[in-house]
Amino acid sequence: MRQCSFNSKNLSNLQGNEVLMTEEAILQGCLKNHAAAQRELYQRYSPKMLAVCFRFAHNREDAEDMLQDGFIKVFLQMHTFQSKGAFEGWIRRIIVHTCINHLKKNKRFNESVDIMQASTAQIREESIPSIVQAKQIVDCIRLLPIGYRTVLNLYAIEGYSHKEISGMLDIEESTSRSQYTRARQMLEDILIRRKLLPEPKEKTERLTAIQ
Amino acid sequence: MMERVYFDNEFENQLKEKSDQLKMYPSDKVWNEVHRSLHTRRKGFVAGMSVLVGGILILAGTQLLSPSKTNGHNLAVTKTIQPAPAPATADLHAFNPNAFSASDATNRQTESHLQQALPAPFISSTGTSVSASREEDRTLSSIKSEIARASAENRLANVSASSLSSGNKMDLNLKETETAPQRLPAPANVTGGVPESDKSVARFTHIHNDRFSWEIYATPTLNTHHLYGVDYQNISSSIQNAPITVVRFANVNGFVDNTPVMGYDLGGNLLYRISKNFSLKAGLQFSFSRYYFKAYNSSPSQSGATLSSYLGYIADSLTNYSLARTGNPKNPQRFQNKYYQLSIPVGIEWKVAGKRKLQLHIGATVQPSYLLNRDAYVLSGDYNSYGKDPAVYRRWNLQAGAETFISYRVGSIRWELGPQIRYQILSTYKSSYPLQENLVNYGIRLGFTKSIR
Repeated sequence: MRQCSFNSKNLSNLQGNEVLMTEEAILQGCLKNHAAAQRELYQRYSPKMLAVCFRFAHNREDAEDMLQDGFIKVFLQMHTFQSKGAFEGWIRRIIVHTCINHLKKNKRFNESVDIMQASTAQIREESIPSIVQAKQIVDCIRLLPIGYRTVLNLYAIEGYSHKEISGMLDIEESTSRSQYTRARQMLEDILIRRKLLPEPKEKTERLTAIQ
Repeated sequence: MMERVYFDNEFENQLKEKSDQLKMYPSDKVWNEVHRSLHTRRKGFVAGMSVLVGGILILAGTQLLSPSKTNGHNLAVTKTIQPAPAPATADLHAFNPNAFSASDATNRQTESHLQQALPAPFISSTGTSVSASREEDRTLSSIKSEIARASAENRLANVSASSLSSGNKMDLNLKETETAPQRLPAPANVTGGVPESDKSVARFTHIHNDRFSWEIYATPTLNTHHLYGVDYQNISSSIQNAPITVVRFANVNGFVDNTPVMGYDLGGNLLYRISKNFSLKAGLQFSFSRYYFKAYNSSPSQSGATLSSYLGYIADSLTNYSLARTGNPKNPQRFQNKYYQLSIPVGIEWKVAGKRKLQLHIGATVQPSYLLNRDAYVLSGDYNSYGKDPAVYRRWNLQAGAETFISYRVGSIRWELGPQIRYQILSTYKSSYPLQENLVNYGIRLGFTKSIR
């Protein structure tokens, strides 16, 4: 993975050893299939993971389906977790892969490839009520066509390289790069229109000033 | 040309930072499904399949992998009967059951004859002569141990007497087995010491144990279901004026679009022959049935299941969202309802016609069943949407099965093939729910039976 900063905040020194021990206890409980430990783990990570799913999914219902399948996989594959990396990062990778599998299974990603290749991709101008800026940004990401959105999510937010993305989505690496460039440009436009980004100045003006 | 707002990586970093700040809280149903998958369904499924597979393996192992032990047992009983004064010939009608008593004197005499008969060659229950010395030694050693055990328990004569208590059985069984021993000419050094009467008794003893047999079968099935709704026209006007969803259709089967799909049954039975043509049977069966229905996705909304509270059903909570709605002609999707059931079929079989090789049977069973999963979609009381509500489902149910099949004997195994139908007598849903669903499975059963000796 290109970026490995998933858990730096959660496992910071400020949280101390107590949290780490608790996490270890949860991990051991889950390995023994204890429902209480599983519930604790779920409550701790499900809000963040649902937000991840929501960025990939078509709607909240689909996101919850992804989350459900993802957590079942997490619990069933708990024994494969090696304590070398961060636990949250491991869960997140499983959730992301589950999301991709959902999109593939429902053929939504394949359908979106056509949309991606079309130069005139339509942006849905939906009015999604947002209170905080994070929600507004995620809403803007979700306005992208699903193919753009998937590549952007994987590269910019989840930190996968284009090579990894090409393997996950069964596309060429160059395709991943070009789609990401377009996705980024489209997202910037949306963010500017929503006043979440400052409007850029014209390049010509800048050149004039230099002269 | 627009200038880029951010330089490389700055954009991604800010995007990631902001996105990771978002938290969303899933509905309770997500955890409920996760928990059920990890603890309820898996446990029930694994336990059921373990019992089924284990039972089949044990039965198959004892019957298929170690037949020599039963041969030895039959031989011991054969020799026990040898000295009895009955005029045992090929015609068992001449047998007088009273001639075989369970008196102590007979037992002693029997034991004596058994000891004398030990070195003598024998004919197995299937009539196969054994001449190989190694096999003979092994079998003889098992005979000795069997005789010693039988003598200690002083039960040999009792076995003989009970075996001869039914004239009908003798007549039937002799006919079924009389050809086997005579087809194989035994070497003189092996069979020379056994009179014909002994062979007849041996056949008789074998047949007495043939009352029990076991059966394994697999049935590809075509699954469908019948829905029965409430006759809304009969609802009183006061309820009709209540603030509930308007019911558009009274005939629920005409409203929903269901498609039959393939499923399967796997199971095993133990059969007990109560007469020449009738057998009782009981066993364990695993059934997987499913059907498709068409609906379209909708954004989360409250399912109409709560409507039924007017009709006596009170939903556990209001968090039951519908995933799919019926009735929209645009962009319908196909959903699948799956049911996993364990059942205990208990019934009777009747041999309608046929001889030894080819037979025609009819059977009927009653099957108490247990539903292993409750995550299927349920149609709401107003026929307007589908949702998932495990509380609606009935765990224990009752099924009725009917079948007819042709059986053909190949060696010691009887193969069976024929159609079957299974109808779920009680509704899939609890009686308090206004809708009733009865599953119907049509299938072609392929199985085989083998006698327990």
